Amino acid sequence: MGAKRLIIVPIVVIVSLVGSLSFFYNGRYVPPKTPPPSAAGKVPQAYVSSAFVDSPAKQTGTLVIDESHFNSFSEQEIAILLSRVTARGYEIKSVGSLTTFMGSDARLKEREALLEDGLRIANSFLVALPWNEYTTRERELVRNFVDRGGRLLLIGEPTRRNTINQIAQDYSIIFANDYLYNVKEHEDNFRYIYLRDFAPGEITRGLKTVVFYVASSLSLENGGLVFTDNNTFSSTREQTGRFSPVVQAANGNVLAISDLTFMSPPYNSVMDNDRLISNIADYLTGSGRVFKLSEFPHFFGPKVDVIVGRDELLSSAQSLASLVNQHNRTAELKERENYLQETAFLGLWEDSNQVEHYLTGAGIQVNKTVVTPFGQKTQTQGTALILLQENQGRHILIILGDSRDTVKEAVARLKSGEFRQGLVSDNLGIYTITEAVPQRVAGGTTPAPVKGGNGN
Amino acid sequence: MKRWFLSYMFLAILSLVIGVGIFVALIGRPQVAVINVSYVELDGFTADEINKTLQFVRDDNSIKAVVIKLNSPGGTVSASANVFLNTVKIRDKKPVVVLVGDIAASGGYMWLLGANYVYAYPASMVGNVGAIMNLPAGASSPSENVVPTGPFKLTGGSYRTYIGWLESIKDEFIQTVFSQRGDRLKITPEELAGGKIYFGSDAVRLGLIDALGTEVDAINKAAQLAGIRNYTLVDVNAALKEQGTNLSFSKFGNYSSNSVKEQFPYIHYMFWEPK
Repeated sequence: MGAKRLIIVPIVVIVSLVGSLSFFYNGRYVPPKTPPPSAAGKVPQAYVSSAFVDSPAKQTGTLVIDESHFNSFSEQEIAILLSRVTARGYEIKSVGSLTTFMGSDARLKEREALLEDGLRIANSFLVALPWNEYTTRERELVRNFVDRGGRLLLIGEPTRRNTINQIAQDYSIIFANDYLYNVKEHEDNFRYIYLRDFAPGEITRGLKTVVFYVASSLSLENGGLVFTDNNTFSSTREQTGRFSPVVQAANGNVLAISDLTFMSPPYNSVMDNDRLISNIADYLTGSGRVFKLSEFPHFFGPKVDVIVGRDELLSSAQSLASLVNQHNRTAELKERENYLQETAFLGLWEDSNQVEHYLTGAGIQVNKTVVTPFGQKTQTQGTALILLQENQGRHILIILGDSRDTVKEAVARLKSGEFRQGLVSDNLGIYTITEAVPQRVAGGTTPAPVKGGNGN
Repeated sequence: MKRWFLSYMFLAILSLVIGVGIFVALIGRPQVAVINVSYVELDGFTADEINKTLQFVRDDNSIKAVVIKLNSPGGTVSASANVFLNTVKIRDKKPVVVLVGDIAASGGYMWLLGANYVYAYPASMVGNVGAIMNLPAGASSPSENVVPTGPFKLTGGSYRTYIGWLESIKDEFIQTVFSQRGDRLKITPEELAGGKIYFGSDAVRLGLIDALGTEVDAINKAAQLAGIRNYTLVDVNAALKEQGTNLSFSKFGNYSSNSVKEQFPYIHYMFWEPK
């Protein structure tokens, strides 16, 4: 009987266990079969530079770089572009200095003068990422430069604050306040976009793919040269479109690019970036800038013959040749005129018959007086003439005077820049020079005033 | 007769006590643990603190389900991945349900990917998938006095290599989202890579989280997944405090986004709120 009672123990224990389980549990947790996270991501690509060989064609000219507006770039960033430009025979000069702030009111006139001097000698002008604003006068100088065939390169970039639109808007170009991106296809980062759609032209010659590293869109109707694809967005518009980060305006004399980084190492060697940089160098050195007499000697090509009407002027001819040689040109004394060569002629009034055809072409008559096409009549005695003629792309500079000293003084004024004060037209200067030749400050800067100077 | 009845009752009561005692000793009354992360920016230090709570809930067998009330804009890549992986380890044993508070962005979003189920409020901010990095300065001029043994000893890699790594890390993040959310996602990798923040309702629509709800919903869901009822709740923060562990993230965050940027100038899964 006692043993039979004990059977209740296991039964009640089991029942209480099951009861407790049922009270607290109504199921069982089954962990999901979610795959564990994998460590296999995209392997960073190894960078292989593209092989590119530059084939520069030689030109003569000067590229001037604006460094007077506290520009936000370093020369290292454009070093490759500049090396291509110099390989093409151009000289590089800069206006101002990247580390000097000239934005204060006190320095604006100085800055304007620097820009004017710079543009006077420039075949092409590069403006990248200016910080300070341009004055009205500076914008006018740049417009005049472009109007006369000078080539302008504008570079902006959305990662750096700049005032490039002040210049760009004069040509209906606006650097938008956005950046272009493509999350579907890009080089390592969604802002590094591939560009494969090109309008034919000198800038896009030979290009298949270029990569820009943070570029903005540029707005210009019918001026786009390089275009984005259907998967590229503008950050402000949040929509795709055929955006253009490279445009050309003003009959091809203004080129605007909204990325600087692609020109800098190592990005220059990606895809066809190097080829694009060379095309830009070709553009900059292909300027058809028309120079006036006031821009002596930059109207001359690379080689200049210097001819004298008589031997007593050889010394002045040497001075003139030296002066031209200082500006990346080769000037040599020759005995005879070569009608295919740039020429500078020095002579006395009696030698004017040797250049009569040029004088006649300019409407100038020489006898005992010099008569200009503007009705001006001046005695030849004590007078010098400087005339620039152009004939089918060839430039001829003529310097005539009544004596050796007068001719010498005319050359001295060319050296010092004072000749600009006696210009009667874009290509003609008439100077009254007394027998007493004024003393000049060393370096040929502004001398004491000349007595009876013509229009000075 | 009376003696017989009394003895049977005695045995029955004794057996009942034994049975319940065995249940309590071996199985125990189920508990749902609640971890309250009021605000945290993930770095090595806070990840360690969070891992204490995760380890606590993982090792305690009476805890059958976990609810994490999460509030984080993210943090360093390593810390974010750390807490995510430790949450997955819990998920392998017991269900984890996350309730997003104000924000679970970037690394905070990565963390919640370790859960079985995610709730948020309608205005909770979720997403911001991607990474940010302060890149090292470019190669400086060689020095006579500081001589490294390799070209990248001082910087760790070239600028372009870092960009490549950043892209890889972004890809891994996206892969993690897709592997953990699976068929629930209604968004393309490209759109996810855009790094957008989504509010609760949109996040549900796109499958980034599971539902809108409250703490009660999260606890009920956790219990449902665990198959438990008549459970008790455990405040993990308080339980750890009783053990002598004070968690710093239980107070409002001491770090600002800017200070994190300054202190940890490396790669972040971080939502840097626009000021």
